[in-house]
Amino acid sequence: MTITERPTVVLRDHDAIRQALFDPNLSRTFDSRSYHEGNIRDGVVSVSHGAVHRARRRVENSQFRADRLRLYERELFPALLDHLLGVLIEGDTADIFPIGELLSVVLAARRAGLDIDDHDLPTLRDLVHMVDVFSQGSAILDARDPDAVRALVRKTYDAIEARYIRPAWERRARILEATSGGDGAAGEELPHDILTVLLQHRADPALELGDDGRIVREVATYLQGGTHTSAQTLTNAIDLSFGLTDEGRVLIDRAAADLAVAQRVVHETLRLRPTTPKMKRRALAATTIAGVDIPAEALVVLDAANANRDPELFGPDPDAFDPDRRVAPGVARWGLSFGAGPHQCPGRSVAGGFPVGDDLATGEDHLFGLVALMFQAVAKRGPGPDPTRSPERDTRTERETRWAHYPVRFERGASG
Amino acid sequence: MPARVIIDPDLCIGSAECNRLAPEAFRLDEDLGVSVPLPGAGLIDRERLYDAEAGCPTGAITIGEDVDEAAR
Repeated sequence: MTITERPTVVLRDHDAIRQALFDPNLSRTFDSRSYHEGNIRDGVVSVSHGAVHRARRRVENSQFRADRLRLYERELFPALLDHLLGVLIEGDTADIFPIGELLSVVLAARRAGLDIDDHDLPTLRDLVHMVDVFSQGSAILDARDPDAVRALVRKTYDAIEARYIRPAWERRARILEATSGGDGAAGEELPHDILTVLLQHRADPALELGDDGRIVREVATYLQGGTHTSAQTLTNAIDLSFGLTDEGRVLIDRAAADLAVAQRVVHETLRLRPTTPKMKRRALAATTIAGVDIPAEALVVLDAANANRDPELFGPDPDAFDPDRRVAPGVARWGLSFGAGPHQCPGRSVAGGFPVGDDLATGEDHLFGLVALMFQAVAKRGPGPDPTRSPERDTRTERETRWAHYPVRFERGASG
Repeated sequence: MPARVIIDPDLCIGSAECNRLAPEAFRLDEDLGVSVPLPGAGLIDRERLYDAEAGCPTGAITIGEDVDEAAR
């Protein structure tokens, strides 16, 4: 049965969607044309299910611990932001979307396990190009020309393996071999990243990583996930702020001065413009969600974009862009945009930082997320719409929240 | 009365959200890749335990009334 032949159930309510995201009967695997064996996303964590998914996440989540995220957010990323924005912004105009991609891809590559020079722009641009291809692959169900996307994704897996993953793999394999041979000092050279932990745990059959291609696809998945969503969210945050006109200028100035405001801008952006507005699941067995009977093999559409605008949870004007809004207790300010349940976005705290409570307080250990840092760095330069060039959406997908270009004009230099 | 704190190891994916929300009650076993309750976890502030229960992305944590001393 293909995805178009299945009975379809659409859930639009916040609590029903949350319940669905926790239901073990609903899987992210779809049909043989999209996600099964031999296909472009075969075996990657985001479309695996059940025991193999849990085993993979247990190993990979070690790279998303708070101490590691603090290192990224407080030390590595601020220095990188300064350097790259200084290089990438020439004069008083810039295209925000590709800049967001270049900023995001550096740490995504580091976390995925690619040994790159953080300052080498041709390499970063090469990786961004690959991320763009993988992003088309991850949105294959909304692609306008799925067969062309599949062919391009396969070719790009070969390229990323040859150029980046194999050299990094061989280096890590040498260190692991030395470590297992009793060379304790070698272990200190072992990088902390997804590729490393996959190689360390590869022998565990629960991970189902016997095929080299699975490791390549898994590393590529983390590279893509860590780059594309952050760049799109940054661009959407700029777009929504510009949409407020005079109030937007005030908001941008507040975010420039206060990282907590920048984080709320990002959370509100995610709520209104989720990267995946409609999540999809397949019913492995008949189940009932919030009183709705779902037959086996049904396609279940989880309309997060709708749930994120529930006035009961997000206030009487849920369509408005209001980063200072109050939300119902226990509800995330970003709504369901990072998902929930076992497939909750592993990079949630990297991109969005820690959740902010109803009192909007942020303690000493709080993390604001890399997108907030990017937004603040851009805000400090006083961005406004570029009157000579219009933003362009990514027309290769039916998802309306994806941008290809977003020109801005800056009123201030790097010093803010 | 202390709370009963249970983590289902089959559901836990080692996100460490519980450790972030209530570090006095949970620790991550890095070898197993799953969280485990610390001794005395049931004695900490109940609201923090409920936060950890609600914050667990997989619903692996259950906080209930303690009826068994050994489970504390």
